[in-house]
Amino acid sequence: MIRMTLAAALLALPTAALGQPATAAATDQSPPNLAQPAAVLLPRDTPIELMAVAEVRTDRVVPGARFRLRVHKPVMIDGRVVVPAGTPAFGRVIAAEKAGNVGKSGQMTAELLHVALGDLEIPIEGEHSARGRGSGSVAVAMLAGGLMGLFHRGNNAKIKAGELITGFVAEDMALDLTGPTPRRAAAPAPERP
Amino acid sequence: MAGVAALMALAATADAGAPVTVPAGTPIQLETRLPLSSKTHVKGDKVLLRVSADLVVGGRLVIPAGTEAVGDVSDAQERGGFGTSGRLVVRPLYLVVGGRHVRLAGHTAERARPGAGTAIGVVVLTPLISGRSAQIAAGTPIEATTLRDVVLPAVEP
Repeated sequence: MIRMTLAAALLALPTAALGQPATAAATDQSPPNLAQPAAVLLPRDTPIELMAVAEVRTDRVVPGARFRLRVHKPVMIDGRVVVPAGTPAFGRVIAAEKAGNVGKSGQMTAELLHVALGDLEIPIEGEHSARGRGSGSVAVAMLAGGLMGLFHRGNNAKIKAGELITGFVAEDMALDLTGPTPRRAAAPAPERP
Repeated sequence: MAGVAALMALAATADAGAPVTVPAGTPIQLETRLPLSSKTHVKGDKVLLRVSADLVVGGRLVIPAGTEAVGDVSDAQERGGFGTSGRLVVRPLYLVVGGRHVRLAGHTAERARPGAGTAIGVVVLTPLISGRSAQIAAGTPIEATTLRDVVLPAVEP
């Protein structure tokens, strides 16, 4: 129901305000263009599933280092793909402790920054922590199979390539997808009910 | 005109379930929908959850039992070679009610920015008998809280 309300609110946005030539017969004083909503609201807290592109290890990064991710599953709003799979995204290491000499495991905390949709940055939130395995306590069993097997080689905390991380859209964004590249719709995002 | 009519119709339905504010930190009872195991699940895997008890705020039903929720495996350790137990850490992420995403945290959630490696809002599931893989049966309760204030329409009973 909320989604329908939002959709209706978007339908009601005057097309002129979006800075796009009207597609239908919409001119001054005309009713809102109901045929094709030009703007799509990407609500705050919409989950975005991301995948780490390359491994991030505590022994190779310092706090503040940025790392790349990609959108793993397309974000759909009302049946339209708003953020396609493969769209690049970025995160940042907040804290990184290397593994110590006495079997202390490495620890890492990272935060998500934004999804780069064309020239548009969609801010995203999400925290991710990882820690290495303490070698003193556990003879670590190798996980079978593929990339995951690499995980136990060392004690440094890492974000593995291919690891899935869920982020959330950090603010309501009205997107204009009609142009060659997506951009923020000129009209402010409708108020949340 | 059709648009105006549609908007009025939508407004009418919205009135039927006037919004209720669910404050941040409201506890929500969840349960797992499928069995989980540290043998088969790895970090990052999605975990299907379900709201197991109606959430009633101010006498009004806001989130009915059965509402779909999603978490992920934030840590998974296969059992070790010397009798160490497997371990699974599940972090509730969000639930979906009325097409709206409501973010969740585990009941141990901390608001402050965590230090390195601090697990936030997670539920650690370990087996009772050591040396086993962590096996989590379907229907295992998980307690979560809402991450921030959210305004939701009340659900008609």
